[in-house]
Amino acid sequence: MNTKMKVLSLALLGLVGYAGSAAAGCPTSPVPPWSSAPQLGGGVVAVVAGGLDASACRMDASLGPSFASLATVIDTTPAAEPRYRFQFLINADATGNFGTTDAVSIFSANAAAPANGRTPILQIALVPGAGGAKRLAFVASCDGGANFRCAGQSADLPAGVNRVEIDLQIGPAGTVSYWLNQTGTTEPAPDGSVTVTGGNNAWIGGVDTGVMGLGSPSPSFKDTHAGQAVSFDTFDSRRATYIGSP
Amino acid sequence: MKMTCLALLVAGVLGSGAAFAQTCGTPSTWNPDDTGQPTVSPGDLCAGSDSVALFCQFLDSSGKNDGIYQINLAAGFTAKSITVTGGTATFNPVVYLYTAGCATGDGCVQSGDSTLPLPLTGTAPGAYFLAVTAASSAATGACGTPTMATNGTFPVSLQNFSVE
Repeated sequence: MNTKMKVLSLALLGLVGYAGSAAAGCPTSPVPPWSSAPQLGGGVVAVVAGGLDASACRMDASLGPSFASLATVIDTTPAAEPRYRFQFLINADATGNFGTTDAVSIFSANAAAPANGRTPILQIALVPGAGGAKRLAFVASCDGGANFRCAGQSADLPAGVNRVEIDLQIGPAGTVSYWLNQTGTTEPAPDGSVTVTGGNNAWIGGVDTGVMGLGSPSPSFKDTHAGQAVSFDTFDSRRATYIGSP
Repeated sequence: MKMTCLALLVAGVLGSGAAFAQTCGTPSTWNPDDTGQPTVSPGDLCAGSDSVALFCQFLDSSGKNDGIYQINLAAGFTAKSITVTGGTATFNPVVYLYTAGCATGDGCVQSGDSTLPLPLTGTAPGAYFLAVTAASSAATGACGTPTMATNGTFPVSLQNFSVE
């Protein structure tokens, strides 16, 4: 167990789970426990009342009408982690139905430095599913994909709050597995995985930062979803153990 | 009495619209005058190089060439924003102002695109990198010929002055 990372994960749970009552109010800033909260181009990160897990507070992120807009929080406590397991809750209902060209990034697990032109080890985005639904799109750094990228998508997400858990393993036989809306704390079989073509992703090193929020909007997302909040809560990261749901 | 005034950088001398290697290895400079002239362009980014793989820890720029400038916002700078133009159907230019190591693209303090200029009002005086590239949502290899303009000076700073 990475003590440093685990300690932070508890702190992050403390923020988004926020033990205080709603009447006591929410923190005005996600920093700390997050390391920083870059907000650019009209992007806004706000800690607001009404947690996604029945706690007092959650984080809302929204973008401005700009391709360069950004609304994120950054965790710098990981230290070249060869295995990075993380989980968060997300509710994107306030963005309404997704059009066929809507897309926006929601998470990035980054290496300390680029290799083969890649710094993100795993990026996750919201992309359109069927009939206005949303699904998760994954881009993992890999040996065998075009431009060192391997992609995959989840099934459509149900409306409301979704619990997303990822197990990212880096090495000569790298893997990316994910679970959606699982209950319990016993690790079940993954709901899906991203094929790390070629297997080896060791060249990129380990995870040094985790970044959650919104950025990189597609043209249609920028034009039609600016100012619409996507809610996040209950971020947790660990080195080895499954997180699950209490 | 001898008065020496050394290294008074003159606005416009170092700034140039001419295209040359605006990379992290050799960033260009931009010193606009009181009216914001001259504008600057890295030329055709398709013929440039990719200095930064990721901006602001989140915005993937891998495979998209960049134009890199090093600017100094001296105390009293009057420029209020930086606009970027030159977009096409496949190229949406964006600009980032950041403080960390050039190739890291980190320490972002402001950003902008062709519809929402990069704001400078309220930005602390200091040395910054200014990068222009394609939007992170664009396909790998997206490029074009952007031009950046501003509406004031940064301004010229006195580097050394002595009276003997």
